[in-house]
Amino acid sequence: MQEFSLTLPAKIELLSLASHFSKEACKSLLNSSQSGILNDLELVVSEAFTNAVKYGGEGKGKVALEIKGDKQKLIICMKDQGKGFKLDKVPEPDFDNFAEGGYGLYIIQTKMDLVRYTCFKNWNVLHLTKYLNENAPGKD
Amino acid sequence: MLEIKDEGGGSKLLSLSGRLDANTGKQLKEKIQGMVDKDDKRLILNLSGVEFIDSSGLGSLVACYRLASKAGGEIRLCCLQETVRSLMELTRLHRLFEIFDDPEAAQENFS
Repeated sequence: MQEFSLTLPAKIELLSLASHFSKEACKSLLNSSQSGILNDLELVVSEAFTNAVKYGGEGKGKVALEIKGDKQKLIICMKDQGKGFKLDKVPEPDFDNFAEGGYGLYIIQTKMDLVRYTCFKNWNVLHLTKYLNENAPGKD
Repeated sequence: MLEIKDEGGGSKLLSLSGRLDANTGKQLKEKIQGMVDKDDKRLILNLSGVEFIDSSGLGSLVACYRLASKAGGEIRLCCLQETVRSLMELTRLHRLFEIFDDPEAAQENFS
């Protein structure tokens, strides 16, 4: 499995760098027929990085991004050093009142096939998996 | 990087280009706040050059809409790229804005 990683200070000014890195990493992991999901993957990384900085304590700690994949799936791991959260306690966006925020996790869950959240040695890790073909193991 | 170009006109047309996200959205909010403070309350945002938007970028558009509304003004959007339109529909924020295919149609709607 090919793997790319990048660790950055938790600063929102570095969002476009993280986004560019992820796009190039995903490009090299996907074949030409799969390039249609590149925009979704860039979006997902942008949402995850923004949340990692926002809730991980902006300017305090680091955010680590890992992207790996093979023919079956592509996995994005976004790690932060904040207080963490419970994935099943995050509320749905407030669609009726046109909220200015609160859509990040909803977008991630909509665009990815599998979303898990774990804590390991001072790191909170958001694991995001996209299956690349219908017959991939783990794909419903 | 987000570039904001003031195209002038009866109602103010702003052409946005680049990324609209958590890092650049505040630029847009400051620009709109400045215009509303100068009594420019009929604003058209041309998004044709916005090549990437995320939920924070959409949030900044909502914030701008509310800034203008609070001052008795209005904001129209035009020329959305497919990725922008698609995310707006996913978050259901397309129901908040009046969206037009081109600046002229948005301009006429103000008339």
